[in-house]
Amino acid sequence: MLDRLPLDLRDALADLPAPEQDALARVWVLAEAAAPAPPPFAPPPVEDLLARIRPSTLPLAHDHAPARRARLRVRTWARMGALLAVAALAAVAVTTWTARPSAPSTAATEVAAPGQKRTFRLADGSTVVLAGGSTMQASMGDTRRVVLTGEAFFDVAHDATRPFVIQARDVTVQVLGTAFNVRAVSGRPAEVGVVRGRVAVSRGTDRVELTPGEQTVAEAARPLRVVPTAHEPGAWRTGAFYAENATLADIAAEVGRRYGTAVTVEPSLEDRRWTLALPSAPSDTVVLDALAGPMGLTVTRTAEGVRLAK
Amino acid sequence: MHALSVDDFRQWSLDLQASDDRGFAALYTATSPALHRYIHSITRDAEATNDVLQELYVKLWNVRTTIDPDRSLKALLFQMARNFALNHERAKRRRASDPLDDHAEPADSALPADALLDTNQVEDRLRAWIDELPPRRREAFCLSRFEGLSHDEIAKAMDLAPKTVNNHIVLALQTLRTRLAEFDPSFRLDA
Repeated sequence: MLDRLPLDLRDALADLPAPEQDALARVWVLAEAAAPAPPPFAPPPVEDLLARIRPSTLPLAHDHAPARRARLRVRTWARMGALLAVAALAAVAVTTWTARPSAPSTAATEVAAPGQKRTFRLADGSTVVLAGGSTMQASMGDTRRVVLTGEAFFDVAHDATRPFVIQARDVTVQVLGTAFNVRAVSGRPAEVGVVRGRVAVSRGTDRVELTPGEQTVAEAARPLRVVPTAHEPGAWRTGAFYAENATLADIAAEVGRRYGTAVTVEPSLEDRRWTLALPSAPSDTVVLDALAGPMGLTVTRTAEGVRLAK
Repeated sequence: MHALSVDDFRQWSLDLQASDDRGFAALYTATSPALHRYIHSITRDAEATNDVLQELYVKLWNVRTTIDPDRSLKALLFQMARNFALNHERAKRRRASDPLDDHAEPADSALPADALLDTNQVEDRLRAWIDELPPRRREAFCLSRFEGLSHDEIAKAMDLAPKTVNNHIVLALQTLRTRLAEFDPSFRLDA
């Protein structure tokens, strides 16, 4: 009977005589079915809650370049007030942004260093989560334009009068109000995957439209193809690490961007391919362990980074 | 909340820090039923329970950048639920003591008395005896037994010493055992 008790309750009972412990354990087990009657009504739907937080879904203080802060200030004072309230919570971060040099006001450049992940809101209300080792320039004119190197997840504010266009390697992504992931890392074909809404991806005269559950991989010298997504696009935002039949060199580069760990691979292994599906990978160790064990590799950590060898 | 792991809560803490409202929605979906029960056990009032529940999650969102993923988000949620519900009760009592306010209602009791008369089901009896425990003892016991909180998490949520939590839970079990033995001496509790 005692083995059905939680550990800390077993500890709490440890000083009592054994028969008493057994009796109380029996009461504990009997009580399982005697939970108080639940409230005769349900919690409010999650949409009610999201409606209450969305107007204040503001960038974190350290997530904003001064140029766009200035524009925000001009655009809406109410938002600025809320922004200052958030900023006050993060006093350290406030110092960082006021100390930054100012950027040209037409196109703001956002950078997430390797190992970082940054979330911010563009002046049009769209949200961007920028992955580690990525750079993005945004100019919010009559056409909202973004040039992306690296990877980012976009949740674009609907505005039929102002198209939202992303340039990523050799493809152009035109957004039709929506949430999707764009991956444009060096050495790999650009990838676009949609979570909500619809986007059009084009390269030269080639053009495809994607709906939720679809992605395109813009391989060199082949027409754009629409294929089902293997994992939810942008799952990296919540700590997942996925690699589909990727070379060790590509996985090493991804670990570098994601965690800021420089990974070198023994040249003879660079082209070995592997598939990883880790729904939660909070540190580089999780990824390297999942790789090294099954592939029979040794992982050596040095001051410069990590080396993968046979 | 028995089924949710430490890793789930850790991930939600990170989502909150990253202002990820989808992670926040997932957190709400997974945790709101338990907090709803807990708040209702304090307020015993439908409207107040839903109000307090929403206030709590809005507040959590507003302080999301200060969430420490290395500390128990689960304990924090229950702690906030308790404080918000008690604040609400205090405000209600202040209104109730105001002679100009004539429609302050007493909290309705958990079970109508006559719901128990025609049954000798052990479960119903136990439910009633749990309800009769001193309020803080009942609270600690229910969080442990029905919401799966550890003694440390309960201590944090209720602002008690861990030792006091142990005592409440052991005393609750002893009370229930005595009631069971009175109700039906054939319960061989010492077997």
